[in-house]
Amino acid sequence: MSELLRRLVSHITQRADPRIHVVTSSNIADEEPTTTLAPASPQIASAEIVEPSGKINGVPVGEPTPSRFSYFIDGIERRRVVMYYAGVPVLYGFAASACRHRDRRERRMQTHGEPVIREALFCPKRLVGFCSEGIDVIDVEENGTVFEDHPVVLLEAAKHKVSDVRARLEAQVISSWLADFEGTDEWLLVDGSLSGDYHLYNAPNVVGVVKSHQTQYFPIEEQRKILELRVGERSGLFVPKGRKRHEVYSWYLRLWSHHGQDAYFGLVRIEAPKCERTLAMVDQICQWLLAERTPLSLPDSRWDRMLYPIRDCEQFLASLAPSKVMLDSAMMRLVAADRR
Amino acid sequence: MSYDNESSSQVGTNFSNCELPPERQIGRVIATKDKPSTAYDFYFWTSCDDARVGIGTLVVAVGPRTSAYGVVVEGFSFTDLESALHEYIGLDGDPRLEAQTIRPEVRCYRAAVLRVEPEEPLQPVPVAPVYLADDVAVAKALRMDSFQHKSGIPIGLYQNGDELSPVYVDSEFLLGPEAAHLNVTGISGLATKTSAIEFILLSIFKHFTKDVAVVCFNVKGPDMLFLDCPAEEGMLDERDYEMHERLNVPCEPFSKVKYYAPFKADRVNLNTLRSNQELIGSVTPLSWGLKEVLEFTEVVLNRDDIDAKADALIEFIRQRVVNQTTEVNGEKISVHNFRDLNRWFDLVMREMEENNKSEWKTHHYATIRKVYNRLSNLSTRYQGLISPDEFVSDLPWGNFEDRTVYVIDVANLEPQAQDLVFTRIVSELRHHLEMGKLGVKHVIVVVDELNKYAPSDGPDTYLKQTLLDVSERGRYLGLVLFSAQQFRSQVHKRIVGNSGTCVYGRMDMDELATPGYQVLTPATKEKLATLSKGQLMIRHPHFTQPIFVKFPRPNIMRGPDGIEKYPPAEDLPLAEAVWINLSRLDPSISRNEVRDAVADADDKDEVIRAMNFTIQRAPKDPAAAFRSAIRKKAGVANVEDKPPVVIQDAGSDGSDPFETI
Repeated sequence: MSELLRRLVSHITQRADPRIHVVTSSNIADEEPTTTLAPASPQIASAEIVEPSGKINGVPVGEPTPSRFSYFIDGIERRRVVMYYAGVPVLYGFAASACRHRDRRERRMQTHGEPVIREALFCPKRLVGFCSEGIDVIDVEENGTVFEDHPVVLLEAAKHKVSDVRARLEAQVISSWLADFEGTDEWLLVDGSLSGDYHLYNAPNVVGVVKSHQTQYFPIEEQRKILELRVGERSGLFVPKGRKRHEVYSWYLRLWSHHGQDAYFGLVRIEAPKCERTLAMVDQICQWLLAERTPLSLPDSRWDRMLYPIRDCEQFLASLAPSKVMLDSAMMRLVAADRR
Repeated sequence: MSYDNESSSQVGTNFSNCELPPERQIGRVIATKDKPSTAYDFYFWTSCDDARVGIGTLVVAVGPRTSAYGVVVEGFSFTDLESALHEYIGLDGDPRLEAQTIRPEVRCYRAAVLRVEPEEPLQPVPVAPVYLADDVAVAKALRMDSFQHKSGIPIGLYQNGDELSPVYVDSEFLLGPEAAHLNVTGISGLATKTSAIEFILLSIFKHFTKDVAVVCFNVKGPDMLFLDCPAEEGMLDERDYEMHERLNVPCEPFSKVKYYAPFKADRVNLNTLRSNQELIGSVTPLSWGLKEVLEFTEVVLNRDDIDAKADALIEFIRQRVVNQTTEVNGEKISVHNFRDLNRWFDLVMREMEENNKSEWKTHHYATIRKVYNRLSNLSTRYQGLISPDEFVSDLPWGNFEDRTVYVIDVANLEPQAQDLVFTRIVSELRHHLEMGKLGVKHVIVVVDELNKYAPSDGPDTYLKQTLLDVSERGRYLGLVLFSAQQFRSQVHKRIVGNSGTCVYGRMDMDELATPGYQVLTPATKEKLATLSKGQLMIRHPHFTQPIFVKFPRPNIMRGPDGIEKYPPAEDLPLAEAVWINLSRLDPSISRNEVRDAVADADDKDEVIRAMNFTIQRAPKDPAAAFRSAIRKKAGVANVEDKPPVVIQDAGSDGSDPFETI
């Protein structure tokens, strides 16, 4: 059982607090693990096309060449409503991120450094006077935002907070990697948008692969051109606008033919540091990514966009996360403790 | 990292019941819904690069309160690839393409539990680190710790990572009285069966604390005819010597071996492949007379011949005639050999004919003639083994010596004669052991080719019955059967079933497909089918699972090498053969002296008779004894005394019988 949940059981057992209502399951909480950075709702953003000559049209990138990516970073999160405190949902959240290294010669994956993990209870502290030594509670309103006193709104805020924590952990791992490998020949592939301290370096060897297309950067006509990319073609480079993080170069790449499939099948968006070197290497990076299509990441349902090393990261992190059985078991003990 | 596997903190720590260094850890127990741990088996995974684990490896799962010793019986490896189609698609159907990432491969093994500490309560194996067993753990796993220093017989070496750990069997379960017998099975041609038995015998001679002798029946070729000769140079390598040393078994041939072989039909040349001039002197003739054979007439006579009436007559002869002087038809006769017996039959039948009687001492004429016909030709049928005269050359009943191998070469005898040799020798062994008068308290009988001598189907033979008897009752007497065959499934079930210890060399897949091997896992069968020379699988009462061991090549000359080095001699001329036979009594005996005596003899039979007479009596001066025993040509002095012909007066009442004509 998770250390946090163990302490929570102990806390509830010791203090018979009538305001605590433990739940073994919740019909309003999203208990499914999620690994995407996708915002809750689709968004339209803008972008500035920089290459080639301001057009988004497809550009063949050439044949796949052996990938030079040798480090891979991903993050995961788990969340579950564990109780209501005075009617306010309290979310248990687990987030982790890790870097996996692929030896160039042996081509096998192994963990680089220590994974970073955080588990905590997520709730608005102004409404939940719950605190206990050894139990990490993260205030969902810590940045000053005050949400409506509606359980569903508060729960959504808690879920976003878990994702924020996961994103911070990923950024932490990326920053750590950049600090270690700046100036070397090693390349890092990140799952999702670029984060971390990449902006501090001139031409950091880091690339992000975004599988989700919740945010669209172009009008529908341009979107159509992107969706018409054929396998092995990329779009023109653009700089996404309205982004909270530092600017990056981005482009779309079709990894697999979408003939007879969904229009987004095999389509990923790439992010790379905004520097001259990216402009020079864009096709080469695409060739590496095309090479990363093998081995397939099946049986993952997102196998058309999920690169195998990223899935490997995810699998590794999943082995660290509390399983559903463990969480269920912890919930049962919480209920038993609450009954006393 | 916030989370840690609960058992990971145990790595490298000391445990109350088992201490193993961290570098010996090879894996961790896994227990899933599909592959749960039970009290009898468990699964564990290892690194793909660990070359120390394989089928047959002994491991120990060390939990906080329980240690489970196991032997690996199955292994499998898998990646996260769910379908071959995924790989095909990923590589565009081109197998020459290389993926950017090698999928993680996990090696999992199933281990059958050999022992759990503590033994009660018997619980499923804990999820715990798994270690390679060291010497101490091997001893515990195989329960050798209870007998190793008391009654352990080293049988081979278990490959323990880079090291070799001795494996012992319990002599109380190998040579009795708890259990007994050893059965070796394996395909022919690898010399594993013979070598294994030879090595085990050498080990027994070295480590068994009580007296023991071995009786080997050499049933084919020259297999066991050079047990006292060292192996040819280069046959053994450094590893063999090291293994002998590790097992504390001397790397040398048997020091005391006595060979026995019947004569050929000429009754002077021995019927053995160990007939080279350099070796023939160490072979003793095996020759039996009337008394020895009559007890086993049921073996050599056709089963249909021995009805109740014939049996009664044979019993009568055995009890009232043999070695006694009786009067038949008014004539006194002493029956000591087959010649005498034939004469006795003549007298009996003549008496019946002369007196026109159909019965003689309640035995019907037809029965008497039938038994006469059958017995009278035994010495002809088994010429060389059964002597027509009183010459008996036998095993040293009552004077068996400790740590001695007695090899009986029956390879060239016809099956029924082999039956007789087996049956009589085993019966005598049993009889003498029962009486405590053999000279040793334990005898190991070695018989190869059980597929031929004790098949699961086919007719019942006396030999099969004898082997069954030994395997079922021998252990109480100290009579132990070491048997071997190619197909265990085709040997009488009770013989292999009574073998406490079973050894398996490389096996044929067809044989492994038979029901007797159902208890073995497919991986174990595969390993058995590919065992290399010098590797064995052993089942022993103390081992709850079969164990794979290696054994060194014994420093004993192989049969084919022996034949090459000591080619069998051609049949010798009479005089030369007699000289060789007499040389056994006195190696200094002069060849010319014997040749002259033979030249003086009446005929060949006379020479043989005199030779046998001399060998039988073993005089101080065999040459002189042979010379005097021989009846010379035209030697009237030695004409056999016969009773004078008495012409009886038919008309004893005084009347002249011819007058009535």
